Amino acid sequence: MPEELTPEQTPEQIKQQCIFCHIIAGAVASKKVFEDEKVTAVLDINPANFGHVLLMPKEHFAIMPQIPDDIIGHMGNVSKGISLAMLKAFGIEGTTTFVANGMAAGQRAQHFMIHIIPRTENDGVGITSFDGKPASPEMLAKIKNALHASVKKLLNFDIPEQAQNENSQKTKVPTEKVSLDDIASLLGKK
Amino acid sequence: MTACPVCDIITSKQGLVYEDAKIAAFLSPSPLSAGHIIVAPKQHFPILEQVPDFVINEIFIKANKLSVALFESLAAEGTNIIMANGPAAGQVMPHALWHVIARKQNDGLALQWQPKKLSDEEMTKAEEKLKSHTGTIGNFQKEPQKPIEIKPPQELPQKTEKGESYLIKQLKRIP
Repeated sequence: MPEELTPEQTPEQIKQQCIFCHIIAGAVASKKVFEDEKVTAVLDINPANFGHVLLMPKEHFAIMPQIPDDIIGHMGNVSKGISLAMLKAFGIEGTTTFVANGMAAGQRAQHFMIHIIPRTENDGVGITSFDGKPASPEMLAKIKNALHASVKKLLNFDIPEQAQNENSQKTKVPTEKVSLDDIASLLGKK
Repeated sequence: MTACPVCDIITSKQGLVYEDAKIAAFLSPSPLSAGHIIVAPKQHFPILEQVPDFVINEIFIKANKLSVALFESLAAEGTNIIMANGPAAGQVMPHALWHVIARKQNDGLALQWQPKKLSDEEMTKAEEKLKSHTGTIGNFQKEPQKPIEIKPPQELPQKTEKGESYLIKQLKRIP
């Protein structure tokens, strides 16, 4: 076990203890599938599915909130590129992009990473249900209130009190809609 | 009503917690936890690959900040950010979107997988297949520039009561 990190440790020491920094530097063998000046993508050696990719910033960040906007935005773009590459390469039916922040969410590595997992119907990976019980309007209002100050501070946005259906600016919504069956075929055609 | 429930929610601003010109974030009406935000492009795109790069860029930047907001204001102990692309991945809405989900220790949410054992040959095969398609990643789409606003021609600075305009005076100072 590496010794516990202390604030006194230099970034260089932290890097020396991080297996993923060694992988990025090439000091530890890995199956690299993509690399540019900001990020490295390798195959996960404990994959959820065939072709599971870990996308990491080259610079060491333990947690996502530390990551500057330009790097996290870039990682988002690369995650889309890798998803498309998977659809082309593997003849799969979809992809899951997955980030875990904190142990409670399943983060195990000390280096921030985005998982991109190839998916097929009933592949046994799980992570396919994102709906719980319908929340009461009171519950949702309570959460909105709780978020208000942080969202104002972090995103400079004032959460409106309630839906203003009548007065709301209409967002441009294209008329042409696509069904889930069409989505499956869209993904298949890639 | 439109055929897309996500477009409807974005338009109605129901549960809205953030919006700008390109993206909107709202509370999931049927959340996995107390603190389940959905971040989506305002424009309707069914799958991830259709969402323009400059919109994805914003989504990741804003999802990161919304995740921090969940930590700060709802005492989340962790967050997951998940994009299900295609019905096989659990996509149920015909609109590409990202979940930002507040987590607590032992909250019982099934958002973890069991690793599969793959042989060296299979890993090498995955590497080679994928590598042959990742070479084109890069040159991400930039937001199109708005057309340059053409203003009506301004009148020349007029002589003021003190004599010449400030601008003309400055011009004359140039040797």
